[in-house]
Amino acid sequence: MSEIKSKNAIIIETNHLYKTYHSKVETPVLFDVNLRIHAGEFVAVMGQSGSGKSTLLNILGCLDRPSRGTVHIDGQDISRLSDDELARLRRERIGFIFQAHFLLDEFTCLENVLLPVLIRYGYIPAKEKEGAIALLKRVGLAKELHKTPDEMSGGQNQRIAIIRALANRPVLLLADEPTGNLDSKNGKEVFALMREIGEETGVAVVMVTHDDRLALEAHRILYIEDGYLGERDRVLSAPGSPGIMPVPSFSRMNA
Amino acid sequence: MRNFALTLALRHLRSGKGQTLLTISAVAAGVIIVVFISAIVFGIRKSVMAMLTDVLPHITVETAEEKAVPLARSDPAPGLTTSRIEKQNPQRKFLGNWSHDVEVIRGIAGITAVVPVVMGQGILSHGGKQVGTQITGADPESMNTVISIGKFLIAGKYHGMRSDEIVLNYKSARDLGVATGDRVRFAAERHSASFLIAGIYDPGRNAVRAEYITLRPAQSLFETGSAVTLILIKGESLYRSDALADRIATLLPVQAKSWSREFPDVLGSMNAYDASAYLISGFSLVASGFAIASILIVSVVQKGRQIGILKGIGATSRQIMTTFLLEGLFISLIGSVSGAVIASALILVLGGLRQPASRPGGIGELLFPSDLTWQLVASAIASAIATTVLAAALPARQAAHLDPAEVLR
Repeated sequence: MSEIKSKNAIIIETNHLYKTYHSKVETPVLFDVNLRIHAGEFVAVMGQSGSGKSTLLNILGCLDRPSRGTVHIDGQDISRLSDDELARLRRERIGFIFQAHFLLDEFTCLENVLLPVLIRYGYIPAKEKEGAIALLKRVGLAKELHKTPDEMSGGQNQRIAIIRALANRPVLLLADEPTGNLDSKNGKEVFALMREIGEETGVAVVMVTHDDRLALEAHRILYIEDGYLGERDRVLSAPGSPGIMPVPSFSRMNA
Repeated sequence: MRNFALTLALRHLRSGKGQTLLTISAVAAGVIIVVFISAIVFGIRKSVMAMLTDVLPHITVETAEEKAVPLARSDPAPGLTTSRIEKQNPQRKFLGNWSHDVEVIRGIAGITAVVPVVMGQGILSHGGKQVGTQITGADPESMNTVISIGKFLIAGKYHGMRSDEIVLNYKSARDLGVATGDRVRFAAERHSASFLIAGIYDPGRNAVRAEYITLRPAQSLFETGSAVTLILIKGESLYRSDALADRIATLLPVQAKSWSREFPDVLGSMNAYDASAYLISGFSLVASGFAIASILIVSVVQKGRQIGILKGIGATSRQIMTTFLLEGLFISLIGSVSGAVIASALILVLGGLRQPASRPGGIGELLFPSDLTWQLVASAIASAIATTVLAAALPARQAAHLDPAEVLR
């Protein structure tokens, strides 16, 4: 369990991060990404399909390793960690939310939320169970505790997925288009929940999204184009402004 | 929810009902085949062996054969000689020194019963009916230790039989139309005698027709004087009879024939039965192993995303591998135990079926002689569990090595 980080603690730091996929042809995906995200920050990542957003998120989530450069998550250099150590880092410091909720149909709503705890401890401490029930009640799922995901709506399931991502009190919450499958009302609710919990717990949130209006509510907006990362001028993207365009001169700056 | 891998394995089995049932059935089918085939084959072996033990002496001692000698010599043309070489019949067909021989044979380790007998062929008659048969004269008590006549007795007695009494084979009694208390006449080559039927025995449909009297009248019928024609021997083990026969032949100037050399086919076919039982068992286990492996591989592919997400939330490769191995273990436990129960029930039901009796009112031989032992069931279950867990190992490894970034893309 990690304590709430002070506001200026650095959660993510990448230095000259490159990622190239080696298959039959070499596919470079990320170029010289330098990134620093602090505790409590809410960062949106935008970019077209295939620009490298998901790859960046996978590397930050320790599901993938960089080809070159370093990535520190909560102070740990992930290129020096074994697969099991990476699994442990994911388990204890990182929460994931995906476009699909990826809840397990074999388990009830409450059990799904407690899965990371079960994986971590091998059993469910009573305190964790109470905490999970309290969170589920708070998001209006008091009656759904013992239902399975296939008996619930998409919005309900995504809320459960968020609570599951926070079950082990991570320092970093990674969300890959968490509202992508939801209608705008449910999308807003889910987004609001993420922000609210992010502010309460001091967790750093990195959210990939295509939705401008959601992105505008983030503290910072990062933009990836063709593997280059830049930070977007928030003024340019004020509500009502035309389509979001990257500013070329930003594409190699340190975000 | 206690242990993660255990909980997940049980939930997988419960949610994938069809797949679970299919894999359990594959294991059960393998175990049914193994238990059933083995029990039947071992049963056949056991009943053949019991039959051999009951009706055949392990070793038969008779006089040594004469060496083949030139019989006649002729010179068909100058410079050419032909001679006819022929095995001669022994001059004396009897074992005159049998009491000494019996003493020597009794002294050999591994021999349990020795009985000197006079055996010969002749015609048995009653009224106008006649049957050709073989008659054996021996002391009933000793004879019974080598050939279990008492066990097959269906009427009258064998033990304590008097010298003018005879025990008839059921087939002979049936053909002559006689019962205990009737008299029959036995005619050998030169002599004949009348006997009172003391008992009738039925060793089953495949046994040789043979009648039993005491030693003294047989010696008179066949003019052996005080000698006997054969010494019948039983050892501790059916399978050591060759060695024992060789030992007797080195100690005594006689010919000792072991049953396995007289009937080599019996032992050969027993071994072939055993080999085919093991082969069929092995193949059916391998086949069910492949079936299980392929069903589990499909299930791993189906659960690819789930495995990815579990790894994403921190499950280690070892936890994922354990989950799928546990699934294999549960499937094998349930499948093999239920297969063993079904096979045992089947054997118990079929084991009660009998062939038509060889005589009215008699009990027929078993249709499926079976030898169902707990060792057989336990080893079938154990090998099915080993096969299944081995078959689950491949999909489990596959699951453990899934790249979460790949499946979640």
